[in-house]
Amino acid sequence: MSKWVPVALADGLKPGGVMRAVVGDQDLVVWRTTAGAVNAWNNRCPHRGMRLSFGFVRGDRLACLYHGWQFGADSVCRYIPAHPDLEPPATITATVYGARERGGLIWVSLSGEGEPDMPDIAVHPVRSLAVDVAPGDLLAALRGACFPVSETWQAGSGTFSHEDLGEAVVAIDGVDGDARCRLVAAVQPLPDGRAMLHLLVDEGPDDGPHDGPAAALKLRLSDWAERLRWFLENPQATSASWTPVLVEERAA
Amino acid sequence: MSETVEKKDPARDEWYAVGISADLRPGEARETILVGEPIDIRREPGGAVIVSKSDGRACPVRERYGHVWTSIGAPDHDLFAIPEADQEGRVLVDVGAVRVRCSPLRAVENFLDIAHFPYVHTDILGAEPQTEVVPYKVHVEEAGDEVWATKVKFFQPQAAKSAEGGIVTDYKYRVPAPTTAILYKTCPPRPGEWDVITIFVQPIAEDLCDVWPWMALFDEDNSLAELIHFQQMIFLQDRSILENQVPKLLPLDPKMEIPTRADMTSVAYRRWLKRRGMTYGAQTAAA
Repeated sequence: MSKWVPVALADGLKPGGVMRAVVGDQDLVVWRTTAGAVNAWNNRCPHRGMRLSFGFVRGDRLACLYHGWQFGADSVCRYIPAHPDLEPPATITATVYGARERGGLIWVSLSGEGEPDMPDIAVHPVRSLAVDVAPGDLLAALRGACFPVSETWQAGSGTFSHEDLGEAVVAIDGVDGDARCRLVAAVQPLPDGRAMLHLLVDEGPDDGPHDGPAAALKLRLSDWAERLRWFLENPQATSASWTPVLVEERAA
Repeated sequence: MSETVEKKDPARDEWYAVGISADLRPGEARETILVGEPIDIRREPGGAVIVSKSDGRACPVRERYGHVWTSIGAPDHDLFAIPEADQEGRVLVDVGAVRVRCSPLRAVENFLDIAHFPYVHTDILGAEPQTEVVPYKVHVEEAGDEVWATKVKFFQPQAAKSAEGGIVTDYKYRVPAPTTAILYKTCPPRPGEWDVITIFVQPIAEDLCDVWPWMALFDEDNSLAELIHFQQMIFLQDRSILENQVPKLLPLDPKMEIPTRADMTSVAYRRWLKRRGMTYGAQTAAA
């Protein structure tokens, strides 16, 4: 099985960052060297079983929190602090899984075969958000979603088209008058049956991450993602304000 | 034969601390779980402590080292001795329980470990770059069938509440029972004596335990509250490790986890458990 799973926004894991991800029933540590390379391993130190996701990065090595054992990017143990002069046996390793950065996302694969099912497009991160629905239901909602294309967008206006960029990624193009915007949403199955939504936006030429319009856009889309979550988690509730999914899609 | 003859079981036929003696006043009772079995502990108005199972059967009781000890089986030995408990001038400290979602055996093994001090108890019991664990001695004392580690030395920035500045601390470790560990360490105000710090681990389930630290110290400067606070802080740091070790049960198969020289005590402890057939809280086959 060569399935690649999006586990985070690439921007969410900074150089030197460490995080945990669960794929199927496999517990993973995902971490980035200070130079920026992403790695995904079995989340267990071979010494005393401590979860490596509690560890810390020093340069191009991940260190276990428990005893400070350091592992190189190839997962081979390079340093045991209790014995500074010892060259650790090359047999002390973690289990290495596939890790890639593509389309603004971090992808992992237990087999490491093939490539993530998504074109390597340039997009900007918005946020990640866990939604208490099945991944398939979240994908279906995204394939019928509408969103505030511009600051002046009104519910019910604009036209929206949807395109699968991969098995777990949906692009939503919105046009409203002169305004146009493309959302990219990736769905990660969580071990408890919920789904993680990783949201990105293609806002055209990058004007830098901190300029006014970009920040306002991200805030608007972040609010939209929360609205989508509320809508999906409360299917019986009737809201007086607009729904983030096209009405005909909800009925379908 | 009218009496039920129960099979010997190393986990059941052992003494365990199940509460602080001083916390159980005459007429008071508390319920707890020991090795998966609910038990009821109460102090009679006359002062005697009675421990009973849910079917009313009485369990053996000892009151020692600040705690109430009992067993849900039939121990063929008495509670181990801690001679220092009766030594003049020591402050005896009942620290109180810390509940940990881990195997009772993992809790003991962590207590026997020094190499984690610079990382888990940073700037208190250890600090980089003084991370080296120099060779020490480990043996199983045949008389009492106890695991001992001696001649252990480690640099500590603040070895005890009474320590000022960093010192190289001498240690001895003693495992008198599968879920009890005793640590003897350099006593800053009284050279030549050893401070005694123990953990009495009460197994609730194979992956859940109450840890009852207890201390017998020479310390005239710190209040009881300060001593308790120091020890609780240390143990809460350990808990963040213990609840994140995988698997939760302690692997007794040597292929499951790779030790190094610093882990000699841990290796001896695991072998000793295996030899005694103490598998409650242990994983015996590779997963």
